[in-house]
Amino acid sequence: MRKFVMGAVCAAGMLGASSASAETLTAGVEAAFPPWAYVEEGEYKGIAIDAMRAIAEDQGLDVEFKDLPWPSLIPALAKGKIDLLVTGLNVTKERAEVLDFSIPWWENDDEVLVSADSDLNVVTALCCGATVGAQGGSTQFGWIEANLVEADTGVELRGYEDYVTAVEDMNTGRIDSVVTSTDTAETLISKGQPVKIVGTIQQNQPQALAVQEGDPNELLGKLNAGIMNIYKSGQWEQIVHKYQPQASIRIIPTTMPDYVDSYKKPIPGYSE
Amino acid sequence: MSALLEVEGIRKKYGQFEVLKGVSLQLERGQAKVVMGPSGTGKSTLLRCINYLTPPDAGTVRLDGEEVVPRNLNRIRQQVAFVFQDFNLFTHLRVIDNITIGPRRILGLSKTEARDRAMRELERVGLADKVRAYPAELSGGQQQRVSIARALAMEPKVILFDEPTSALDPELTGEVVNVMKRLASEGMTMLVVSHEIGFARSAADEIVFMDGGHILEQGPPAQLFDAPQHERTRRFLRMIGDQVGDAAAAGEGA
Amino acid sequence: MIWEIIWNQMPYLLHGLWIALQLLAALLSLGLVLGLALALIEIYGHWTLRWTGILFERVFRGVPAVVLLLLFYYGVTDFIEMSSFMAAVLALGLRSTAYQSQIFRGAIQSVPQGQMMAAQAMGMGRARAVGWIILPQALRHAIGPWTNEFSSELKATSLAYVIGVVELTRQGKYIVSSTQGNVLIVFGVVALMYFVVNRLGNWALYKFEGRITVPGFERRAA
Repeated sequence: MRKFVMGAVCAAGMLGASSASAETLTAGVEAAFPPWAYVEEGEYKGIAIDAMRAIAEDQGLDVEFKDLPWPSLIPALAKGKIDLLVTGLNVTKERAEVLDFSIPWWENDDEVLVSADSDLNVVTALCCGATVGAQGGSTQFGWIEANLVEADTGVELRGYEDYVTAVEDMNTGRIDSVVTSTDTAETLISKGQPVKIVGTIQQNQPQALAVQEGDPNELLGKLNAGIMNIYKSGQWEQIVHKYQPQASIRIIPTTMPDYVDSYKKPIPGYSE
Repeated sequence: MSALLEVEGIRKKYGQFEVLKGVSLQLERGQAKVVMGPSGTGKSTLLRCINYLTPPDAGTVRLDGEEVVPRNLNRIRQQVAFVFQDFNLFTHLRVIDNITIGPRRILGLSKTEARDRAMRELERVGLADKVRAYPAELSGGQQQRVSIARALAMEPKVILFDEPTSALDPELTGEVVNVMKRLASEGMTMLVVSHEIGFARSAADEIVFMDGGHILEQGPPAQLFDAPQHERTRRFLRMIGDQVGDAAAAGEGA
Repeated sequence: MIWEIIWNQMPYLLHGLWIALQLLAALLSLGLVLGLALALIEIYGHWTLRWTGILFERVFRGVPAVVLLLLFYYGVTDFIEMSSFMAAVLALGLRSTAYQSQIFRGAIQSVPQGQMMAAQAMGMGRARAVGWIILPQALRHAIGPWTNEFSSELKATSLAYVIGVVELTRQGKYIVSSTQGNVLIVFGVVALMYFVVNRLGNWALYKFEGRITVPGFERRAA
């Protein structure tokens, strides 16, 4: 692939054909985050991936995916190493300060997971000496830190690079519970991990795509229009149900928090 | 007619300690001189100063009338071979390659020319059967003979020997001394730092006695050994006579 | 079930391994050329060059590999455009340069002084003596420690995923995340693949060492 790209670049250079350089956008993904983005059989898959492909087709964009580990994604976008961020990305205040969000296409709650054979309940799993795991740098991690650890509930928080290792650590007894987003929890269970949900933390946490702050490539308009088009055409529902058959489709855009600058009207590419 | 090798006023200081305090000597073509003297008296330093392995602080060295200066150093060194106390054969090269590397890489001889020359010199030191051996497979005496062959293969005008037998077990010195004697008798010009009385007596044209960074006296072996002028010389000869006499005898028997 | 998945995923794991091997070959080659040059500079160079070399060595040996990777990918690419792979080659290659320069410096210094003296006494210039006498001996001394460097750099390639090089470890991660489990089995297989490559590499290097070993250069027991 790299050779091919390099060959193409060389050829373009030799012909001096600048018109042929239909710009390819690089979409950063964390390809270890099902059901949103992952790799199977050497192919990028997931709701965010398929939806992005559909949006690209709808808007005539040329997109290639680049896999980076989760903690690297936002810095890579801020640095312009990637043009947009495509994954199950939660909309938060801190993130809104360093990047611009598309209109949100999903809403999530958080689930409290314990081992299938555990007798902890939602209270004992998050209190009083319990050790809780979450993906480092995630909204769940931040939420536990702000609401449980700093409130002196006696909870010890442990960060993981991904949820699979967190859950495996829980199943070997090293931690007591894991807090994930609803769709991660459902994926874990559907793939046969011996875990159960003991409680839900109502977050109404919106998710969206993101571009560099200030949208220098003027992508937001196209992304927003694309999201609305695939939503209205029913393609979105198809994609979501391909990966999460039971998931309920929410009205797009979902909740748009007012701390996000790019949700101030007029929103490019979107009108009510 | 000037001497082949003229050394004049060589001085060398290490820190505060002056090892050589102005040493001069001449070596005629075909002459073999042996330098003797107590240890720490600057004999080896003198030898190293002659081919600038240790650059002297003052003084000049002339080979065939040409003064040694940094610019012509490598060319002069090709004509002034050096045989080391601890042989310094090139460890990674076979005997044959140890001898041909100089002629081939430095003198620019062809492969066959260099090889022929190497074989000739190996036969001269009696080691033609060790062509394919590596230095580590040879005894000390054999290694030193190879290093003499290596020196000879450069067809030098003069060979400097720096205590060529003192790293050898006593029973191995004889083979090396015999090779050196033969070279002397064939008219090789040699300057030898050594305490081998046997060699000095039978092969040297002249003995140089050094003490405290000076040449104290020099002369034909008979004169220097049997009628030394200086008390220091007498005392030194008595001392090595006791120590080396037995070893030299043992060596020659081998 | 998981074995079937691993079997089916083998082409991707092998592709990841292939990327890791390319990265390894590139970074070791870079480190070999620059490390040897650096060692020569540090031994024979002018003191200013020598100190620059030592500074370079200290910096690249003192900074963790992951930090170097991030620095090159997010820092250096501000000035020079390059791919993740190139950034990884540079970051890990320059780090290897520092380690290899140490190996070569030690090896060169372990060649006895007398070898250089004997070469110079013949009328060989210093540069030629280094090329014909010192380096051939030093490189024989260097193979042992270089084998360690090979092993540790093979392992270091697994860090390159942090800047988006999809190598073996990352491919393993893909299987773990698409099946949402099996960390132990998948990374067990990945570990086995690293192990096999490491053994093969060591075996080849020892074999090579054996071929160029001459009496007097036998591998020391330690």
